[in-house]
Amino acid sequence: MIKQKIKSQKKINKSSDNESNKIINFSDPVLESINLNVLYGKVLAVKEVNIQVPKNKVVSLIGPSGCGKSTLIRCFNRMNDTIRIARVNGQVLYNKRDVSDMDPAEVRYRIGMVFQKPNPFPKSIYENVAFGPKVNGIKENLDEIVETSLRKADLWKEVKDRLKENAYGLSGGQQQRLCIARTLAVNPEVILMDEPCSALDPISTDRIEELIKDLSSSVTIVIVTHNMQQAVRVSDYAACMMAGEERIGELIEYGEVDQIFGNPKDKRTEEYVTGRIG
Amino acid sequence: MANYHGRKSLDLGLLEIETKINALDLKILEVFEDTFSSFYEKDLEKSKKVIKNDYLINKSSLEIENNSIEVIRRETPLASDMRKLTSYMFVSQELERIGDYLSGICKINLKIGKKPFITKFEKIPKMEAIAKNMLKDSIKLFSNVPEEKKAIKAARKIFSQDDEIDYLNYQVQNDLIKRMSRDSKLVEQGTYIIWVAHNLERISDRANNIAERTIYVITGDSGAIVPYELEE
Repeated sequence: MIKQKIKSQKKINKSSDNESNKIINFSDPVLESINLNVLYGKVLAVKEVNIQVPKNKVVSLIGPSGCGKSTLIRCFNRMNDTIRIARVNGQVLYNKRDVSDMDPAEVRYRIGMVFQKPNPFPKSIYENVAFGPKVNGIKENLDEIVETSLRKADLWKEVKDRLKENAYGLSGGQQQRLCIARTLAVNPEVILMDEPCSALDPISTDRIEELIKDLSSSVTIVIVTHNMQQAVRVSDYAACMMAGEERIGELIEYGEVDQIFGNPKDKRTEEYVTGRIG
Repeated sequence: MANYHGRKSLDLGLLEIETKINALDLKILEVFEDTFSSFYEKDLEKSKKVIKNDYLINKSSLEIENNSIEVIRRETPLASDMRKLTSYMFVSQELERIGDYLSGICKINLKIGKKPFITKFEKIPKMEAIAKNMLKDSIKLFSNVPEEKKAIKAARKIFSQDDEIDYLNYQVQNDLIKRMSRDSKLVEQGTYIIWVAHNLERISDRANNIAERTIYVITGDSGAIVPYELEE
């Protein structure tokens, strides 16, 4: 029989605002925000976010509505530039380069984005996928790029005989995979996904999740999701954001997915993932 | 920050299982008392009743397991809720096994029957008192789930009694084996009494497991308790 005792050194920290809960340092992060603040007009929406995203991993951003998740990922590829009143302070680094010093078009093809609702162009399936490469001046091998991108997005078999048809004829789930294929066509290093499955049925959701897992061997993915089981299934790391009384979004905890959903250190994360707040 | 109302069904599910575990706790303690009073007093009818009613403990344990699975399936819980639910299943099985050990002691009582005991019991009642205390304390700990420091203190108190019961079990075995090797007429009952001591020792182990599981519910660390030899 085994004599047992408790490890006395084991201390579980369930307190809030512990800096060590929020920070993971990676040796070679593909994306990094440093003291990132975002204001919409005079209103501070996101405060002092420091987060590193490791290469070829899936990072999910979770938190209640209005906590700044979408605002944060929109900073990663300068999508907030398109909002006139948005002001971004601090730095976002893509492979150690400040994205504000890069050409926004370059930022967005290196860091692609997939949105909540599928948003294909009112063009043919083929043209949707070929659009990005064409804009970037690629004229050769377009057929190959289109096929490869559609295969990677697990859509090729379903659309290979109807490439010239309008993309609006596809189902919602197919349209979303088309949007992912369109993003993949320019060989991004990172894909940002803002609730990519929230408008989809369970089977389409399952296919997108499978796709996320497959893609993560070659692409870094940051996904905003309200579906915590989805975050558990697809991600390697999870970051929890929360807005306090003043409605300013902050990163409160960042960790490996098993830890965030199994045994969060911050009591607010625990309350969020167990449905006590949100 | 608005309250999220999706917990209502989960909270009700947890409450229902907790109520069933509390009822099973009380049942086990009652069976514990009945088992040993029937053993010392040779009350064979009481022993038969314990054996007959063991199925009720098995049924409650299964209900707790099924309820936990149902709540997990329905609510897809995370973090502390998931730890609680998996622990309810674990603890209900531990209680069910304790019921089996007690029922086993009653079966031994029937086998010994009305024949006089070959020994004046000294160590068995000591083992019984320790096992009962460990069991009471561990189920109280699991039901109340105090804050971490208090829980660790209470768990330490439970674990500290384990060595003593192990030693008493060893002494019972040793004494009886010596006596049996000298007098073969003692072999039958001697073996039965060794089994009673063994069952008590196993009950204390299960009580340890319940205390351990409480620490897991609180800390989320299944390795919070490690064997001495692994730690060194």
